[in-house]
Amino acid sequence: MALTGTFEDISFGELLQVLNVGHKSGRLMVWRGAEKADIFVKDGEVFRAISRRERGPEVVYRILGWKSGEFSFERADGPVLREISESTEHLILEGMKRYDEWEHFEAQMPDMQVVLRQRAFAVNEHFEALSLQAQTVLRLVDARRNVATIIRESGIDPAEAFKAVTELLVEGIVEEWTEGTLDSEVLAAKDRLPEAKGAIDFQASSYFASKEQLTRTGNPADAAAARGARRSPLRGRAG
Amino acid sequence: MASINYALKEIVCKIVYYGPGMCGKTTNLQFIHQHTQPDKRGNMVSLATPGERTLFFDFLPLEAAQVHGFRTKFQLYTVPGQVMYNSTRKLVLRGVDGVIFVCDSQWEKMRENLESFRNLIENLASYGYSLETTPCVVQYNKRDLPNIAPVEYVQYLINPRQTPSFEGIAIHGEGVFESLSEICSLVLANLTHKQKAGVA
Repeated sequence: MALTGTFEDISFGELLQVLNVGHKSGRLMVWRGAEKADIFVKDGEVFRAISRRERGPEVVYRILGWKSGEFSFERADGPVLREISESTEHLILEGMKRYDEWEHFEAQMPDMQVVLRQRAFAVNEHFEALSLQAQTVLRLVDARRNVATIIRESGIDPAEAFKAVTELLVEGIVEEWTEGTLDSEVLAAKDRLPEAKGAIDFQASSYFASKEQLTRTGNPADAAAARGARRSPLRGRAG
Repeated sequence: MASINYALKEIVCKIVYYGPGMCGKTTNLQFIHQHTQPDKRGNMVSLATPGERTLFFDFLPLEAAQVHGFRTKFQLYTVPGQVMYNSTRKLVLRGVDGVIFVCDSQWEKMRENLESFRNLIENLASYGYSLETTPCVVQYNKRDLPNIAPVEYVQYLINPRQTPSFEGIAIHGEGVFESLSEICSLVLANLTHKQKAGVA
């Protein structure tokens, strides 16, 4: 008789631990909606993992992130071709580590619809130290575009662009601008909008743009920071 | 919850080194690994976490005496100390038989020690375990550093239950085997106790 259940009752990680400690052999089928995977276990060690799209340790790592789904384990003692060399303990812990890292990243991730603006002072301080992707993305942050638009227009691989946006947010170089709603001009223009000019454009247009935002939000500390930001490039030029 | 393998006549006990990031858990395990006979121990597996801060998972079966004809084996684990790795810590704690809580004696680490200790209690509770039922040993590590709190103070914060505790300088091996042998005997005593009570 098969051992069956749902991942709400016992997580995939715990299930693997049970099979591992009990030195079980057989085939573990897991599914969630249309996603399916087969995991072959021999003496408690995962020998082979196959899903429709991939095979190997990656399958195990992916399923460790599932919060729902069902499983069925059938005992079988036949020989199994070993394709995974890592120990099951290693697989479980590496997978959980990745899961924790993803959760951590996800918690920092911005909402796709939120409009971003630059923090002028921080931009001037840190621009040179940013990655190329972050610099590209930063040019599109103009208090009118939302995260989705910025990523689409950046021309960078979406995942990379997303990482760059997150980096800028975490470093405090851009911030969510809650008063900003997606500008109707951006909505109407779709992909034809001219390149945004952010506060990194020291030739002032962006500075005034950001100053305008600041007066609208009326945060004196930010306004002071923006003034400081304007002075620094001028000083640089004089020297 | 030691696992008993009747086919191999083996009892496997799981010992987990817990504590905040950078407190010396991995240093403990490395020292034990270096100072045990190669035929008495398995390979140490370690996974690196970003920032190259800590090795995070070590697995080291140490063989000990026989109990009722069964060989006893100890598996030693460390958990990643950084706050973000909580699911990993929780999973490592599953089925734990004994905990060595390693704390960093430096004044500025007291908060982290306390947070990690509370996190341990929380994670144990999620499996229905508690420090009342799970043997625990506390190691006050890094006693060689200049900026350290008195043992009595750390004890007051972290170890109100007054479980056995040791001062340690894990990097030089001080307190390492003392903590380990204490937890091993506590775990075995607990196992015998449970067996008599008919639980395990």
